[in-house]
Amino acid sequence: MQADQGCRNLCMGLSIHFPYFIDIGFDPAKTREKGTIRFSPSQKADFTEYLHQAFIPAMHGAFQWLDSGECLSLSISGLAISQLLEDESYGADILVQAMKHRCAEVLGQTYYHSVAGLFSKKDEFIYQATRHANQVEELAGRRPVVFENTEFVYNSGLADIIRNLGFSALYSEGHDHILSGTNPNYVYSCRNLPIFLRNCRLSDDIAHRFHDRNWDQYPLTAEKFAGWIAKTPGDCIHISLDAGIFSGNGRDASSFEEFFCGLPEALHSDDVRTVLPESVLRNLSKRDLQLEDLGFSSHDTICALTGIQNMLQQSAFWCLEAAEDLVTEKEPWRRLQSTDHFARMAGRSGSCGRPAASYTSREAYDYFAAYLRNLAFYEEACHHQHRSRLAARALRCLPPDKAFHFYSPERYTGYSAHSLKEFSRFLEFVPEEVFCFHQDRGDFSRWITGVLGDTVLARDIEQCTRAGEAADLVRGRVRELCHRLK
Amino acid sequence: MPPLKIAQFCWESLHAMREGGLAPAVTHLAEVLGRTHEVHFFTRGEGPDRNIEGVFYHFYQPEGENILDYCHDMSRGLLRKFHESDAPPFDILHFHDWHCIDALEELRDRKTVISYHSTEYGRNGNNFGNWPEFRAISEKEWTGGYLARQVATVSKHAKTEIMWLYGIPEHKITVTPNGIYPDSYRVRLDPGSVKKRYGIHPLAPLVFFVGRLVYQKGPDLLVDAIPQVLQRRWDVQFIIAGKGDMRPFLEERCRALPVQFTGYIPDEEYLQLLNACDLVVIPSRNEPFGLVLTEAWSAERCVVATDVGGLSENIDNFVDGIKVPVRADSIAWGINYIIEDPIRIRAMGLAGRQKVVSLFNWEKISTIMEQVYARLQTPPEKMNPGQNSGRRNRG
Repeated sequence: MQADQGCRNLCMGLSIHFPYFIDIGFDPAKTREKGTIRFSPSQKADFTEYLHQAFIPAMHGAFQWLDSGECLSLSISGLAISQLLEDESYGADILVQAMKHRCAEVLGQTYYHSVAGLFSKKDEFIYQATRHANQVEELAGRRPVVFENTEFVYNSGLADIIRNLGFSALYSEGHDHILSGTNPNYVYSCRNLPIFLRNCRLSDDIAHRFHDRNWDQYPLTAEKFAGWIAKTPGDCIHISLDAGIFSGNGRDASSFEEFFCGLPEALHSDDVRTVLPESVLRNLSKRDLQLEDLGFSSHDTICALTGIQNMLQQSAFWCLEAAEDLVTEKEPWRRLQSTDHFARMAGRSGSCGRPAASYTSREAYDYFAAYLRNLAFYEEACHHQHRSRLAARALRCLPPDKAFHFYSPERYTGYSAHSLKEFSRFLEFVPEEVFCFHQDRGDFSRWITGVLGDTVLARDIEQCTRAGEAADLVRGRVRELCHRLK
Repeated sequence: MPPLKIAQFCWESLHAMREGGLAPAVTHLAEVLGRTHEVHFFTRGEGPDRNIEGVFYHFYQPEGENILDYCHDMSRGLLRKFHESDAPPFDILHFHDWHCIDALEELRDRKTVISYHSTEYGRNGNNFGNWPEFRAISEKEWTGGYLARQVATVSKHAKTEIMWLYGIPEHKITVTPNGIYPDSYRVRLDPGSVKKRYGIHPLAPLVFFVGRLVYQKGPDLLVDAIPQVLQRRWDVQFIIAGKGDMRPFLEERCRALPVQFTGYIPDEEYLQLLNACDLVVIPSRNEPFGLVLTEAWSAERCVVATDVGGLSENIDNFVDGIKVPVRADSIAWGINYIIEDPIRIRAMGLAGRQKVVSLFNWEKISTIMEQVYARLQTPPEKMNPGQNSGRRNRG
């Protein structure tokens, strides 16, 4: 009887992405080579391992579904597709077959699995979404209809852009702590764009808890999981699984494959059918949803949905966004936009079907430092191509050893400026005692002259008596320098 | 239940003199009861007696060289005010804490209730004192429990404490937690802009302590935990709000640490900080109830609290908060455990909010208090046999 009240439709998604990490050990001081971004030296070996440990088993599982007429959506970044195409193994052929399969649907996303959706200018986001859609169309013969933004970043402004790009719906995450009671198992609509919410709890039951022997539901069987779905109220449940889960994370991978492959049969016996996002869109009614309905203020939106949770990520993000005007070759810069870099700068990451990762604050800081070292090194190499080298030098991002660290007479305030722009942002709220401490010692002008090479600003800032005054001055100078750059 | 005429005696209220968590607890209780009963509130303060939010306030400004003389004078003054309004006579006389016990002694033949919001032993961080003031206050607390017909206290732990300290029989005691209006503590704001006002990076995790800076509340335990927190996560910032004797000592100890002492903060600022912080720490050595807990939960904040008293009783460990032993390194462990995980912080805050809405709303709490009053309305001769047989059965 309970089954009659539950969900009848399941939208299963498989997510494929291989991260492109940078080389943490890279030290610009020890190289004479031309500046470019140094990615991890074990990139190739790691990719091969991912291919065999995760991708191939995931595809094996996917074809078990697809060939028996079960529907599966695929979410794969443009970068991952390119990596597979460049690799000379058979991975690319398998992927293309899956993408073309009549029971599969490929979701749209940013080409580089990027944070571009958060940039204040949306050109880059539009470019990447379009490039990915073109790539999918070329390979699969169909253009994606439903968009899934990286890390499920979503706000009303993006909804408009995504609709204008020709997508008919958007995926976002339905974390329990975000939903505040909103049932994720219905189709919602925001600014006339239908929104699907992933069921994070059920996704994480598979992704995080499947191998957990301490979980009171262990072991999870296909029949048990299908039973939960059939009892869950709603129209359609959306589940997302990262292909990395198929590697078993050092545990018994075969038990997971068995579970995944046995799931369709268990679903059928509970009268649940698998569907594609596109068909959900056609068949189900939509409920209105505002971002505020999920209990979000604008700040929460940034923190909770974007994965930008700490000041390291924020500094790196600001430097990345500003770098667009400072780099001449966009490809390496675009690879730095991947959310994987930002996940490495946080303590914990991974949820809603993605494998969990945990880094100590030392590891997070080391990655952040390496990220900025690389970006700074690359920007410096591009200086000579700018109209104003002085402006390019003053606006570039700085690695931690060249950043401005704000101190009070007694202690470190906890923040450091890694660019002139960030410096002006901190001056807006820096306590007056901190400002006076540095101003009295001449730290500001010394840093601006010595590190940024801007003697004009250094001279002017010496005259400032208040932090707010200095903030206005630096902001004005940044605008002027940006103008000179173009 | 027919409407009663109730007198509340408390040395603090939100509308005159306010010291700590007692004021909102008693003021709001009076207001909720005032909707169905005639409630008079006898408290210290200046100005004419007046009706505020449906409660009749009677003020008296006491004098005294020490706290005991001061409270004695307050009891005398409030008694005079009481007698002025005692026609028709009050049905229930409800005393809060020890400050007005002299008045209770005088009115011992009436239908009296005493609420223990804390004990002198607890306020001294679970220590017995051998100084005269400690002994005198403890004696007053004993007298209150002995004379009052009914006793209310804010948690099961507090109940055990007063039974052990003052030998109050269990049948006299009812546990009535403090209620709260959750919506008055939740403010939708941009936490980053509040942090900026304190010179803190908008994305730096902010740990907030609010309370009197006294031994009972354990601010020294938090301060000792800070270096251990920073070892694991260097960007955490701390704000310690409240006033108290320990402040100079604590400030000295926090030199060069990312800690700001705000001193006393007005309610509006308190709400801003409460809603902007990432974590609320309650490191108390003794906490009969822990009003900060329900306030933090109302603002959807996650708490790290010591496993004592009302905190221990009300927090569901790892569901709506983290409970740790009363030790600095354990507090550091608790903060480190959760601070890395913003999603769980948020989830625990929301779970806390759901708990206050369902368990600590004032309507529910005032009903429990009305039941205590109703027990007093029942004639003793009818009540006693039942109680005796109950005790015999238990025995």
